[in-house]
Amino acid sequence: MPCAVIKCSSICNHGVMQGLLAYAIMRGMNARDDYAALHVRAARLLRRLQRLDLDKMPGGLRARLLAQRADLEALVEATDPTGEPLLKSLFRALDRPLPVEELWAWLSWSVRAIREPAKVN
Amino acid sequence: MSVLSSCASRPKRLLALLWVCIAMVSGCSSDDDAAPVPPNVTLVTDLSQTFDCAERNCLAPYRSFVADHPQFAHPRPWETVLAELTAIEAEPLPPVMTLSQEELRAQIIDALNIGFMLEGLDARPLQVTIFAESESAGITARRLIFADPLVGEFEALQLEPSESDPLPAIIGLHGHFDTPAIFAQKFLGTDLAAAGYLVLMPQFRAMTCVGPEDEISRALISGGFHLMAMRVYETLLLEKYLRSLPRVDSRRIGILGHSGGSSTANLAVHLTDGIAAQVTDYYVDWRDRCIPPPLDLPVHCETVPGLFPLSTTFPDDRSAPLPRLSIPYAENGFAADADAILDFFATHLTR
Repeated sequence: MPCAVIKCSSICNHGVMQGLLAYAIMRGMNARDDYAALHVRAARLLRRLQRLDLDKMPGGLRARLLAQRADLEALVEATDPTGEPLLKSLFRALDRPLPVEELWAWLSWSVRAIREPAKVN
Repeated sequence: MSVLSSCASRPKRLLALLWVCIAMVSGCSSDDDAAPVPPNVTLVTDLSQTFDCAERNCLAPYRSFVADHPQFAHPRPWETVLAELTAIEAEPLPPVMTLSQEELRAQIIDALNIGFMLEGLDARPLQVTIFAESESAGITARRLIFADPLVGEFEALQLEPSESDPLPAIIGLHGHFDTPAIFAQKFLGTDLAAAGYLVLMPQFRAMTCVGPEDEISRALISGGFHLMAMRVYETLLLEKYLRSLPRVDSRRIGILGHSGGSSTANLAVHLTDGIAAQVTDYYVDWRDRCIPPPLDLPVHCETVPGLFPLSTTFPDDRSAPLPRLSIPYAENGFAADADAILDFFATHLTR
C-alpha cells in the first residue's frame, strides 16, 4: 500500500504504534536523523502514560493501556538517539517512504529484538 | 578678526544651546506622557491562607470562559472540530514560512483568540498573595496565589536567592503531570536560584490529560477559545508580576520550559518584549493529542489547529524573537543539559 494514501484516521484506530508509524510515514521520516523526532513523540506519550493512574481505568482499557505502555517503552528504546537505536540503520538506509506493512515489520522485529534478543538474529 | 568673530558667534551658540535644552525638556515631557503604565500588581502577604485548587473551585473561570466572553466566542459543533482535526492530521507538515515578527505575532494572536486578553493586560488588576514562606541554604521559597479577573486563581512557587539587587529572573514552565516542586528538583529550578536567579514557577491548572484538561479543552475549542491561550496569558501574568518587583531587573527576565511548558513559552515569547532569553526542549506541531487511542483524548492544550501552518516555522531559529537555546527533549529532567542551560542564561541575563 503506498504510504501516500494512508490516512491517520484509519491507522490510529489500530493503536498507538500504528499511529506513530503513520506519523513517521506522513512526515517522510525516512531521512537520516528523523528517527529522533519519532523518539521524542513516543517518549512524550510514554511519560504521560506512566503518570496516568491506570488502576482507576476500567479493566479492558487498563489492559490495552498497559500493552500500549510496553510497546512505547520498546519504541523509545529502539529509537533512543543516545544509544544504538535499532531503527537507526533503517531510517538511514531509506531514501523513500515505506509501505506501512514493511515499516511495521521492521518495527515489530525491533521490539522483539529488545524484548527477546536471544530469539532474534 | 578671529577673536571678534568668535565673540560675535557666542550669543548665537548660547541661543542654540537654549533651544536644544528646551527641545530636550519638551521631548522628555512628551516621553513621560507616552510612558507605559506600570504593571497593576498588588502584592500582599497573608500567611493564614492556603491554596487548594478544588476548594477554591479554581477551574471555574476556565469552565465558564465561553459563557463569560460571548462577544469573542466562535461556537462550532464538536463534530466540526473533529473533522478539522482529522483533516489536518492527514496533511504533511507545512513549509517554513518567512514572516516578520509583527506578522508572526498577529497570526499567533488570531489562532489563540487571545487579543482581547492582551489588551490592557498591564492595567488589569493582578493580586499576588504570599501565603507560605520558608528559607533554606540562602534561598527563600515563597508560595504565591495569583488572582486575575480573566483566569481566576492559580498557584506559583518562587525561589529567591539572597544576592544583592537587582536580580535576573527566570520563569520555569512545567510539562504535563508535573508541578513547580518537580520543576524545582528535576528541571533546574533550585539550581538556577542557587546561581543567583529569582525563579518563578506556576502550577498550571488542568494539565493531566484526562479529566479536567480533556473536558475543558473540548469546551474551549468548541467555543472558539483554547486552553493554551490561558497558559500563555498566565505566563504573561508571571512576567508582569516580575516586572513589578523592585528586586528584579526587568530587562533580564528569561524563560525555561519543558514539554507542554516549552510549547507555552514558544508562543509567549512572541507576545511580549519583556523576555530576554529562552531555553526550550520541544516544538509541538499543534495537532497533538495528549494520549491517542485506546484512551482517545482528541484535544488538549497543545491542540491548536490554527497554529499548525506555523508548526515548522517556530523551530526555525530565524523566527525566534529573542536569543534562544533549543535542547533535546528532557524526558527525565535537565541534568544532562544543565551546564549548557546555565551558561546560556549567564551569557544573556547576567553579563
